[in-house]
Amino acid sequence: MPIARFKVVLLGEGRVGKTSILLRYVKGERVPAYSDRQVSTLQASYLDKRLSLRAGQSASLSIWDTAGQERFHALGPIYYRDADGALLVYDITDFESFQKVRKWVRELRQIVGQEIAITIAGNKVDLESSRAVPEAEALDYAASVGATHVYTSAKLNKGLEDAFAELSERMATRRNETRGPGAAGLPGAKRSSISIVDDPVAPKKKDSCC
Amino acid sequence: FAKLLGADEVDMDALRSLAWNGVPGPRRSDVWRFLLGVLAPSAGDRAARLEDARAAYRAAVVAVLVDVPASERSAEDQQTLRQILVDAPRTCPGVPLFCHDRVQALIVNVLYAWAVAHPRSGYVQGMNDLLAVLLVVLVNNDVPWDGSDAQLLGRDASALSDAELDDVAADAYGMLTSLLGGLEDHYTHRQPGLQKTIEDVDGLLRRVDADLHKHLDDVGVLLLQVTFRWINCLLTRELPMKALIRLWDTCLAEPDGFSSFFPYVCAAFLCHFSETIRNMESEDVHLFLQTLPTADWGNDEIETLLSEAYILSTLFQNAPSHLQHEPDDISPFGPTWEEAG
Repeated sequence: MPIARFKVVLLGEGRVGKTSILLRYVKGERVPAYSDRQVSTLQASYLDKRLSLRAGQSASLSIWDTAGQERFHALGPIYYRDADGALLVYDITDFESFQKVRKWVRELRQIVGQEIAITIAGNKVDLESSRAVPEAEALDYAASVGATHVYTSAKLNKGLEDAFAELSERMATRRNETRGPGAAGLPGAKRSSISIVDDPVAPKKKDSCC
Repeated sequence: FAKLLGADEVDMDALRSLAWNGVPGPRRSDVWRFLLGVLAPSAGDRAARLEDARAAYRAAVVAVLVDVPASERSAEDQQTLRQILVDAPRTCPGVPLFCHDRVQALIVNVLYAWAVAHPRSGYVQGMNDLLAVLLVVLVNNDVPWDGSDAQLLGRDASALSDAELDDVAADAYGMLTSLLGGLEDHYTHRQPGLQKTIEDVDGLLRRVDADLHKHLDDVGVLLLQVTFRWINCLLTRELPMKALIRLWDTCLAEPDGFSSFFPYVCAAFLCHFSETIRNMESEDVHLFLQTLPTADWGNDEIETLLSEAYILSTLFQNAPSHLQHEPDDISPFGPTWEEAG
C-alpha cells in the first residue's frame, strides 16, 4: 500500500511551545533532556515523521514549524497554503496566546478554506495550576470552528502522539472523501481545491479585526 | 594593527583592508568598535565622544524602561517588551556567559532601548543573536583567542563590575545600532531588504551553479525557505562562534558588507554544499540545510568561503544586471507574498 503524504503546519504565538512539541513528537525520547529554552524559530523549520493509520496504511507527515513573531507572518502562506492539516498551539497559562489561535483559524479558513483539518492544542498542561484559559471557552470555541481540541505537554511528552494520530486520521478521511480512495497515496500530489473557497461562512475581507 | 590603532588619526581605509583578512582576537573589540563607529578615528575627541555616547545610552534606558511604569507603556511597547523578555533567555541557551542575571538584564535593556528608538522595524527575533555576537567580542577584549568557543562563551560575567558591564551594554548598543542601521529594511514590514538579498542570491546561484539552482527548482525548495534565517540572523545560527566572528571581521571591514557583500557569501556558502544537496530530495534538503555540518568549521573553512565570495563579487560586481531577474523569472516568493490577514 502506498504511503500517504500529508503536509502539516504548526502555528501559534511565540514561545507557546511549538518547537518543543515537534521535537518531542518527532524525536521522542531521543531528545536527551527536555529544554525549556529552545532558540526562537525564524520563519519556519521542517521535520518529518512516519506513522501508521488505523486502516493499516502508512502516512508520512511533512511538518513545518513556523515562527511565532508577527513580523514573519507575511511569509506564512507559503507554509500553509497547500497544507492538509494545522496544529494551532496555545499556552494554557497565557490567554493572549489563545486569542491568537482565533486569528489563525480565521486566516486559515480565509486562505485555505474549509478542507484543512485543524487541531487546537492547549500546551503546557504541566502548569495546570497557572491556567489562564478557561477550559469551557477553549472547548466551545474549537467545536464552533470544527476543530478538535487536545491538551499537550511537550515537557511531559503528554498527548502528542494522540494529537498527531487523530489529526492524521482526519486528513486521510478528508482526502479520501475529496479524491476517492487510492488517490491518497500519490506522492507529492497537491489538492486542487484551494481555490474553491465558496463557503458562505468563510469570513470575508471586511472581517479585518486582525 | 598596533601601529594603525595607535595613530592620532586612525586610517579607516587601511584598517578596513587589514581587518578584511581577519582581526587578532584581543584587538577585535577595538577594531569592531572603530568599524562600527563607536570609537572615533581621531584620538583627540575619542574618549569624550565615547563617554557622551555611553551617557546617552544610560539616559535612554532610564527614559524608556526605568521611568516608565508598565501601565503607561503603549500596547505596542508592551508587546515588544514581552517578546524581548521571552527571547532573552533563549539567546544562546545554555551558554554560561548569557545565563548570568546581569547579562540577561543587559540584553533586555539594549534590545528594548533599540526597539523603542527604531519603531519602523521594532524588535525582530534574531536580533538577540546579533547582539550576542557583539557581546562575546566585547567581553573577551582582554584574553587570547587561541582557545575553544567554549572558553569565549564561558567568560564569567560576575568578574565584571557593574560599571564595566554598563560600558559593555552602551558599546554593544552603539554597535548594534550601527550594524542594523544599514539593514533596517531587513526587518521592516515584509522585510524587503531581506527579500532583495534573497533575490540577489538567486541571481548569483543561477549563474554560478545552474545545476544546483535547477535542482532546487525541481524538488520545489524555495531559496526563501533555506536562506531566510541566514540573512535574518547574518549566519549566526549556521556557524560556530569563532568561525562566525571571523566571517563578520570581513563583512564589517567591507563597506556596507552585510548588504553589498553578504549575498556573495550566502551564494558561496550554498554552493559549498552543492553536491550533497543535488543528491537530495526536497525533505532531505530542508533537513540538511537546517543543521549544516559546520560544527567543526574554523578559520580555514571561513577563509576559503570568503575567497569564493570575493571571486564572485569581482566577477559580478561590475555587471549590475547580474542580480536582476529576467522578465520571465518567477519570484522566489511566489504569488502569495501577500498580507494574509
